[in-house]
Amino acid sequence: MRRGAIGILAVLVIWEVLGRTVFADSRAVPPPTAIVQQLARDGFAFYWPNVRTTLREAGEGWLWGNAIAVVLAFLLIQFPLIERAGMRLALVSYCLPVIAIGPVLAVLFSGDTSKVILAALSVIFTTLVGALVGLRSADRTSLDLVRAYGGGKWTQLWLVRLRFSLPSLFAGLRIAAPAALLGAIVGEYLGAESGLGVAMINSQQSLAVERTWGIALVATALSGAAYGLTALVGRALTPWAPRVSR
Amino acid sequence: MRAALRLLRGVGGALLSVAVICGVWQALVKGFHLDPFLTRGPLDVWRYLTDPTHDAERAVLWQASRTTALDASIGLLGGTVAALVTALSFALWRGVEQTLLPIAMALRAVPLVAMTPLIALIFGRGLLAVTVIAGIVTFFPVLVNVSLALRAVPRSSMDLMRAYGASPYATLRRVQLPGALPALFAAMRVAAPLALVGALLAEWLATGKGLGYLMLASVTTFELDRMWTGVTIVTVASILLYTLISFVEQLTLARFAPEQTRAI
Repeated sequence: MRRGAIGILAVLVIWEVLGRTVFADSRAVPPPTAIVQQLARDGFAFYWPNVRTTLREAGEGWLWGNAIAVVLAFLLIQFPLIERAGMRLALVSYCLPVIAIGPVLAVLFSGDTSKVILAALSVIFTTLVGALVGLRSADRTSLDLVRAYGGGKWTQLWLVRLRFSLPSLFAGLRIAAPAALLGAIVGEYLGAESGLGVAMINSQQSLAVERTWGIALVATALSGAAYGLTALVGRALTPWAPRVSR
Repeated sequence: MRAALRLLRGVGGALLSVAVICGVWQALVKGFHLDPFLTRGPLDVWRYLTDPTHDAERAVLWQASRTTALDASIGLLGGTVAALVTALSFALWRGVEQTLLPIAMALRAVPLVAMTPLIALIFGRGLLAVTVIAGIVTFFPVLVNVSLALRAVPRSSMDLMRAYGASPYATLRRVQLPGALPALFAAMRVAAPLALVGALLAEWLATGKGLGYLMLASVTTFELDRMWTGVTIVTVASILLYTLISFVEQLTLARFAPEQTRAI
């Protein structure tokens, strides 16, 4: 942990030095201090409307995508017959390049809906895989016990599988947070009124280098916070899960 | 023989995926009575692609597809090789690993593809920007997965190598590297669709070449047949790439970790 902190500090120092020397002419890589200054100058008034839009799109997409994924996981585990076809469908949703269906959705839906759908599509597969791995990891003897007392498949799901699935499900949900943001931001690149994606493209095209970096930094911080928050909730809900740092 | 069977199953799976997507697509278009001016079904795309009078269109699409395929595969391979080299040096110098691996792991929480405008700013509007973004998207997952796998080698194998006085290089080559192959391909498989998205996005935002640009430019000029065909090509390519890598992954699993083999 301490070594990691040293590593980050070293990277920042090298970045600062390079930004002030090697990249001083090209201006493409400004030193971190300049980025933070610009960030403070733009301030809350510039960032909040964009952050709010992007967070709303990503959040709605995250909810929908994860809800679909979890329900799908339940169905696939309860009805093994459709498992292969269902997995294929989820895989297709992962392989569908968000940028390719972005324009399609943009012409079909108005407003933020297309971004919400993109964010949802970005999370379905990882969450589904996490949930399925978890549901399958249920303890055989516990399942047999429920069966022996006359419980059916759904009782097994409710009493046993759900609990066993939580650690793996949360591992999937953790990755889903940055993925949902990615879907929303890419959706905004393809055209939107406000949002971090729009702001980033505008500042890139007007060569406002420090601001572009600042927006990237904010997007990173948001996504890191969402990742960390999911991890914390996961830990609180599953205190029995092994805590490996991966 | 078993490998051929696996390949057959992989191809069958990919075909099934394409069939599923065409079915769902057709159902969505017809079932929801979507605007026929804007939407095209799989049959429309097929007719458009095979129309004998569309030679020029086919040439344009083919050219763009080749550009994108090249962009994405240079990025994917470059990112993988760079990640492998880094992971190997991590394994040989543990101090470096303990300092830098946490950063690489933290970057998993970053939506890297969304950083494309930034990459375009740094690396300009040429081929470099496209390959860098596709490469970065591949680099970090592969680096983290392979580094963790290099560490997760069974204790007894490591002890055996030490007992025979093997050098760190020999241990790496004979024990750790083969053990990490499945992790390598697993990471590549998951990264490949994202690398393709990264390449397409960079083409749209930076270079103005390839399918990424062609698809989005077709929207603004309302050449929707061309756009839908582009979307189809990209999706099918993405599924094929995923299937191919997952086939190689299954092969390495069968060789190095037989207990983990399963479909998908």
